[in-house]
Amino acid sequence: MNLPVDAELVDRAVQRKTLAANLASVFAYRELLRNLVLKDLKLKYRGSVLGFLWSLVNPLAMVAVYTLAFRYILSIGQPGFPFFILLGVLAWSFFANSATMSTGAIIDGGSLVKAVRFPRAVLPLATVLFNLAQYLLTVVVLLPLMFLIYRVPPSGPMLLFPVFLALQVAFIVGIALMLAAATTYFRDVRHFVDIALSLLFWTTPIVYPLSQAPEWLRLPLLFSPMSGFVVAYQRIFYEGGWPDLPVWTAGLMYGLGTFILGTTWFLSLEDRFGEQL
Amino acid sequence: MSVVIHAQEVSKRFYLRHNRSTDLKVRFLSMFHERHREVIEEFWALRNVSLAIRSGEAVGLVGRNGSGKSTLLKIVAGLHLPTKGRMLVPARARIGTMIELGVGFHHELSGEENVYLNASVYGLTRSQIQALYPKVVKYSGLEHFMDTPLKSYSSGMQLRLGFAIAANLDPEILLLDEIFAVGDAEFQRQCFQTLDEFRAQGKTILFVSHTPSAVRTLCDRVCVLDQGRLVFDGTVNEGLAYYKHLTAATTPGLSYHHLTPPEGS
Repeated sequence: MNLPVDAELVDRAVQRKTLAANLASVFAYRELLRNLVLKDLKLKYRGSVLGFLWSLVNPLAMVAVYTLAFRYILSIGQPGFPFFILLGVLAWSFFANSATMSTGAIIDGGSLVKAVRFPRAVLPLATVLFNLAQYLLTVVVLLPLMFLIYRVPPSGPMLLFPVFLALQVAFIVGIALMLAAATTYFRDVRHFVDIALSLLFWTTPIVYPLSQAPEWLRLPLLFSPMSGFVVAYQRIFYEGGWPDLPVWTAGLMYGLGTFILGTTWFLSLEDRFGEQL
Repeated sequence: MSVVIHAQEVSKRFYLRHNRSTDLKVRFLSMFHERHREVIEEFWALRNVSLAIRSGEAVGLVGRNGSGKSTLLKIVAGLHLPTKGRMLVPARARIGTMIELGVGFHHELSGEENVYLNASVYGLTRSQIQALYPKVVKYSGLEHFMDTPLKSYSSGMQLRLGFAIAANLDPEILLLDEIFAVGDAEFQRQCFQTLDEFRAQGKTILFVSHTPSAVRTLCDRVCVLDQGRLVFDGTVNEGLAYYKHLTAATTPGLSYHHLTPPEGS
């Protein structure tokens, strides 16, 4: 097929990059996104005997160790402590794995980025979706199991799970875009992320309930980036109650704020990635 | 015929960073030691290049190593942005890039999986790839190997698969770097046959090459770049003669003329 004679010419450098236009172009590359996620999932389990079971072993092992340490050695915690920890551990792993992997999203896709023009956001998005898929698979298996063991009745607040999950995904996408772009310029970001994650793990109420923290520390802890989401999951699944205003505030603020910040920043830089690598 | 690629006084600056380090230790040392200090030097890969390519033309871009050919191709492809000037390309055209074959190929995935992955990098939807797939298999002649992992392919087979995908994407404008120089004679014959068909279909081709014979078979116009400047634009015979003269007259290697900015800046 040949070009129409009056083909309209554009200068890419001055093309306006609206968020809507970019979402549309990412959507146009959805097949690439799908193939990248499938590739990672296939490669992860190809050639291993237990396959997907490994993804269940990891969070369960963490829960076992933390339960041993806190419930039986330090004698703190409450009934159903493993269930409580599991909620936080799963949500945290989704975040931590996405953040770690996203630092390599652009620089490890170097040959791709240097040779073909496509919306770069597809690469970090693919790492987030890969981790989301793993998160959902573990949740689908382990949550009903916990409901059975601890005899948790289904309740209204549980319907909020998709809402906080969507906010958490928005938050993680924003973080992944920022980290992928930053690592392209400074390779040190990888080391920084490792340290930041190990600190944030303890400022997030995962292995302790927020209510055990002294009064003055609760609000600062709740505004540790991942806390809003983790506390929301504990509230709707473990306590069976509706999340209160501070939890909503933290979730909305980090979810939407980080998404907007990450997207804007990434889009302002992405045309330069091909030259930077 | 209408202009489909329009370079207007395009210049491209790169920075040569001598002693570049993002390492904190070296940064610290550089405050005291001259030897560790980062020296940033400007490098003008293209200077005021103006060029209009019309629909259906096949243009050969020749020049010595480091003359800016590949940089120009990458700016047309949208992989680099011009430092100065404007590069106008069609708003909605399939611009095919054969700068590197089989990008994103993964050796643990099967041939079939790699075709789907590679084709989607060019923005194709699944139904488009499903329509493309049988053509790719037929063209590559690798039916028997499509379900085996790519790591069992020879490098020649991988090249053939990569080209089979690129050749069947049906681009309206084809940007071609000298990718088939690495293949064997039969592979090169197949490549040129396909490119000839593209020519016959009236597709626009921009071809970066060092090989006069390849330019002669494929192109109807030649542009010669030297030290980032467009020094010749005209017929194939004259262009190749100019290029031959250029390579004979001067000693190879980069000269320091690159380091001064283009005129009028």
